[in-house]
Amino acid sequence: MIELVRVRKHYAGAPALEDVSFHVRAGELALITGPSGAGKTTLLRLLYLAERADDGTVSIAGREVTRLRASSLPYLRRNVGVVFQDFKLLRGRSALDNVRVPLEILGLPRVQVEARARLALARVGLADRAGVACARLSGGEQQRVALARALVARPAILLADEPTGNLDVETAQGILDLLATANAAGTTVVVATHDPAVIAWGARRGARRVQLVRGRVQGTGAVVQLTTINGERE
Amino acid sequence: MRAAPLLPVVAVAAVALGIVLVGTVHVAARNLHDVLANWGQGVQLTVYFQPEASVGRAAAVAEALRRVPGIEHVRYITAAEAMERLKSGLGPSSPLLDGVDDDFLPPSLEVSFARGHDDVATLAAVAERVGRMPGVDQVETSGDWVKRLAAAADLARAAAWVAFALVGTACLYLAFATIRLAVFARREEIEILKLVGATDRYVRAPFWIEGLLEGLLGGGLGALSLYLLFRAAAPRVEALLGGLLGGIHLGFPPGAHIAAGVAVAALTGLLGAHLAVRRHLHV
Repeated sequence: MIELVRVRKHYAGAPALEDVSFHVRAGELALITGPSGAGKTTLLRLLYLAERADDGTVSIAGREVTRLRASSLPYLRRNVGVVFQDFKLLRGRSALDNVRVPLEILGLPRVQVEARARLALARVGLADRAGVACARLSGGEQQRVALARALVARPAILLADEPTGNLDVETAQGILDLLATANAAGTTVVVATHDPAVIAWGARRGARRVQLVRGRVQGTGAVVQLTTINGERE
Repeated sequence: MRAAPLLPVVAVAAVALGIVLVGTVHVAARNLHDVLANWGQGVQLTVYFQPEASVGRAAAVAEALRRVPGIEHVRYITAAEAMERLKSGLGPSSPLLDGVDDDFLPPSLEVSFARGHDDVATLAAVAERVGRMPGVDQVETSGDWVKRLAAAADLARAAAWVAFALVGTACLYLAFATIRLAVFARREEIEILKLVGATDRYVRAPFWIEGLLEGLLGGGLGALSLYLLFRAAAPRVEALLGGLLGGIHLGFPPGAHIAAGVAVAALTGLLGAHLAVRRHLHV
């Protein structure tokens, strides 16, 4: 489903990613882990096509996207739901409006848009907050709106950048449960995190792990296996 | 947009003002052209006779003129008829002529040339020949004035095009600036839309519509203002010029011209919006 081969990305000459290779199979749960500045967000940006690799290849759903024409990007992005670290919600608009957006972009009939958006909000436990402006929602609620928006168009891939950052333990667990549900439904889920609780959650679910350190992959494989190799405590 | 709510109003007003400015020059150029066209088809040479010249003398001169190649019409104007015309031209001021004898003005011949024979050289040659005929007091040609005014009309038309270009560019820039501010205020929204799969066209559409509506509204308001201005000013200009040039009637440009002006204004708004939003689409 996702494959990176010898990917390199530099910013103003400084390496953000160097010689990064790994793959994630369809329906798999994968964790991109590493400390702050390791290149996790850059890696996700390559996957949702906000950045282009300087070198190497990135393939998504069997399609090499490194040299994809700009006009083709939107159609590929529609297959990749993203939960951004800063949510990227339209703060002045309601939760329902935000979840409607991907469906409106697809050009679905208004009735269908409304029904599917409300259902997506209900699935993340926000049915009763549909009409509230995002700016007035709590951090956990905004995170759930972002998740509902990422999933409402039923993408094949879901990317989540630090999905539990700044959330309390209970709210974070709720978000992880929603990610697990999406993964169980067949969605390929890739989570970038440095949160030990999330890594432990991934270990329990047999997630693949890609460990990044200073832009380089230190190891890939199951979370438990890597834990053993690196001697980390999770 | 919310950051400067007055800017769209300014843009609409600027487009409206632009239409009024360009329209005014266009109306002036067009009417000047019409006046000249009428003049060109009218009298180009007038022969005034000495007071003691007989009607028979005038008839002989008229007959001689009719034999000149290129002369289309020769009409004898009696002294009484000339006085009647003067009174008519003076309009409300005609009582100034009360007590003046009907034969105060000299009789004359009005001569019209066929198209292609009304150049200044031909008129001057005929005027010189006629001026030497017995009984003729003075010969006036209008051809050289027509030519000069025609040149002025051409200049006015060129000025209309220059005004069109300058005002059009200014309106384009204002539409661009307005939409650019709107785009800037909504840049995060644009980024989000792009990241969740919106095409450039999807993002651009609302801004295109905004620019189009600004141009359309400005163009419509400008056309309406131009019409009202014309309605208010035309009778005064007609009265003012009527005394000098004889009866003239100023015309408003046809609906197709106005529609074209409004369409250009709308397209200017659309183009401004297109240029403004382009730079924020690279997400």
